[in-house]
Amino acid sequence: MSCEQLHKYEAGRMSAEEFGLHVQGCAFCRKQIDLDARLDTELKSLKQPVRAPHLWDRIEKSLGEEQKKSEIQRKGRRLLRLFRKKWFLLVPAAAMILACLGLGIYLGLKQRTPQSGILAQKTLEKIELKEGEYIQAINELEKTARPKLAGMDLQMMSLYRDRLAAIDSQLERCKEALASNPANAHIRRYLLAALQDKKQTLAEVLGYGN
Amino acid sequence: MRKITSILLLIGLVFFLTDARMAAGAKPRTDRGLLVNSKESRSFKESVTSAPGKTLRIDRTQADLTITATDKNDIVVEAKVEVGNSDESFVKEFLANTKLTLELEAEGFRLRLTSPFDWRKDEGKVNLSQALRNFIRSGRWNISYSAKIDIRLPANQALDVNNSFGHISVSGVNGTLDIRNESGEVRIENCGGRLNLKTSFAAASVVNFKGPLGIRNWSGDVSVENISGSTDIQNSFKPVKFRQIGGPLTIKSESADIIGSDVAGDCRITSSFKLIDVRGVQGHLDLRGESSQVTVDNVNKNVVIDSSFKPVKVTNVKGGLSITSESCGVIAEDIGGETSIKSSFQDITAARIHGSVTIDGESSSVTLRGIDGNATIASSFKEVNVSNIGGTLDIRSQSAKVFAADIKKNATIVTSFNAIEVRRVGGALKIGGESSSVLAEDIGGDIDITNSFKNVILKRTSGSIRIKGDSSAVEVSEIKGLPEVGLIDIRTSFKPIQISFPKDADVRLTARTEFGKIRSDFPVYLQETGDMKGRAVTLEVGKGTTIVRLETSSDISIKGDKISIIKK
Repeated sequence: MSCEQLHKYEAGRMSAEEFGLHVQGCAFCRKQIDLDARLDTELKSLKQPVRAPHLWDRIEKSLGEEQKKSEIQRKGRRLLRLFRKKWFLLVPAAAMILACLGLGIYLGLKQRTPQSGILAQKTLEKIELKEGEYIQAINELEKTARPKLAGMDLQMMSLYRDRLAAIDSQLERCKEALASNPANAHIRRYLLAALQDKKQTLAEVLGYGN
Repeated sequence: MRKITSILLLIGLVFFLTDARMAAGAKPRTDRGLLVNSKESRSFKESVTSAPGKTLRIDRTQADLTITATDKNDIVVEAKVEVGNSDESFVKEFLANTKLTLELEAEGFRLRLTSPFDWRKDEGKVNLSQALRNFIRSGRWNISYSAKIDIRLPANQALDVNNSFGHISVSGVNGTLDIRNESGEVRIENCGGRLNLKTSFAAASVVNFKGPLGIRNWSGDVSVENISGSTDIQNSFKPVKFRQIGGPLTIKSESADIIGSDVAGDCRITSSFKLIDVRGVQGHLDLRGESSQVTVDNVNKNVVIDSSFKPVKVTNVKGGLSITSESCGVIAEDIGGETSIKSSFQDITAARIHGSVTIDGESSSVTLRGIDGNATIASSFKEVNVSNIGGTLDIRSQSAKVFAADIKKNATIVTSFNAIEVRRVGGALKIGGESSSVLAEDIGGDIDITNSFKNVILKRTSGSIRIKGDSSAVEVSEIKGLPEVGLIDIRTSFKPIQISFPKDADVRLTARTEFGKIRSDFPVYLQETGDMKGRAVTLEVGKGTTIVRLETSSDISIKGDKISIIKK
């Protein structure tokens, strides 16, 4: 299910005020806004200095599970109301269960449709925003880490410089690839992994010798 | 009744809906109505008849590649390209100008997936609208692109793959596999031939490969298992794991954990700053681990280790062992051949060595137990503790306490400022101990001791005794044996000498003291002439075959033991 008004709002063809009025009367759009809010909460974990592992996978999984759950609950309630009125459907009910079970097993064994490799625009904008915040946090971390790096013994300094240079090289490659392919989910995933790696390495530098 | 009916129907429908939803997969986020604003995909299929031994070249792709071998002679390629953009017409045009081709080449076939991305390089060759060309030229490029390519091909094919930002999976293919990837996982399974893999920033794994392989993976994990040929791995910053390598193994890494087992050939490993754990090597093992913690177990031939700053533990080596390290704690146990260990500032322990041992441990405590051959130790400042040495013992130390016991042959010990205790030496004992107290018991051969300022105590000796002390008190008792033509020569100063002889000893003794008293259980003759007049005595017991000379500026005490000499 989808809502045309939501399409228009996210495409920039409807103002926030107009959309706000629409939301008051549209349960579907209200639900999407709740999901967006949850996405924001998940993405905020990128700012945490300690952990944001597998962030991308968690966001996808969380959104998917939320949708599944709400759809099943809604349909369940409808059915319950229906069969309260039509009790005489008890007889074919058992047959239907068996048929559904069989069909469900067949569909369950059928190969799944692969997930999209392109990010939705709204998600992309949010991811870019959070990446920017992540980069800013790393820049702050670097200001403290670089002097500490210069004060290390030669071996450790060389090691960490090599490692940071390798990560920076990977970040450059990802940014270069994203310049011509901005919503590719795979490249975004690897950019995020490189940012996490850099954050972890800088944290190690700061913790060295303590 | 109504409730039961409702519940039963609900259960049935829930099964159906859940399974159907699971089968369809989680809906893409874009099904919420999201955009990019427009997203479309297009599928492609190409096929060609190939033959065993041909090469399939895939270059300049940015896609997930799945390559699977079949028992047919055809190469079948199915690709799905997904494109997203704010303008639907651009998306359609982009897809319309995307092509999948399988071209014949000299050695086989070339797979290309070309799109308007390639337009900038092949300008004019792609049929684009002016609007799209302008869009591309303007640099405001926000078309996004994702591709998945499934390839089925004959099992005996060579592969030449050049990909980036996508995962690669290859299974069942036999041939020369040249694979280059970047920022995408690579998995090679149940393949054979020869593998040359270069990738970076993502994991690479090879399982069940029949043939030699070389992997270069910068900043990426490497995992190899069940490889029948030689294996050569270079990587950095991420772990390397290996298991069941049928030939020689070489790993060159930087700052990476190296963990693995079961190598049929020689093994050569270089890493730094991380853990190296290698077990079960049939050939030689050569390991360089700067600041790496090293664990080695079960090697059939020789082991050579060069490391620093982290502990090294080596066990169960059938050949010899050589460890050169700096500031490493070292443990070596159950070594079949010659063992040489160099370290500093940390403990060194070697036990059950079926060969000779040489230890160089500056400021290291040294513990040796159960050495079949000779033991040679150079150390300083920390305790040396050795026992059960099947050959000779040679300890050169400085300011170290020394404990030695059960030495089969000769023992030589040099140290200072700390005690020396030696027990049960089969051969001769030689000690140099500046300011070191000496206790030696049950010494089978001749004894030669030089020390100062501390006591010397000898018990149950069997050979000649020579002690040169400087302000050292000397005590010799319970003599078990005296050589037939032997010598006991004890000289010290400022401290007393006490010596006990068995009742049936054959000695001719001269004792001199500058300022002390001489007491004797045996009858003595006082020297009445010469420069030692009144300060020297002589005595003779039995046949007088052993010459005894005692000299100090303090007291001398000559006693008779109730025990008898043990005749040889």
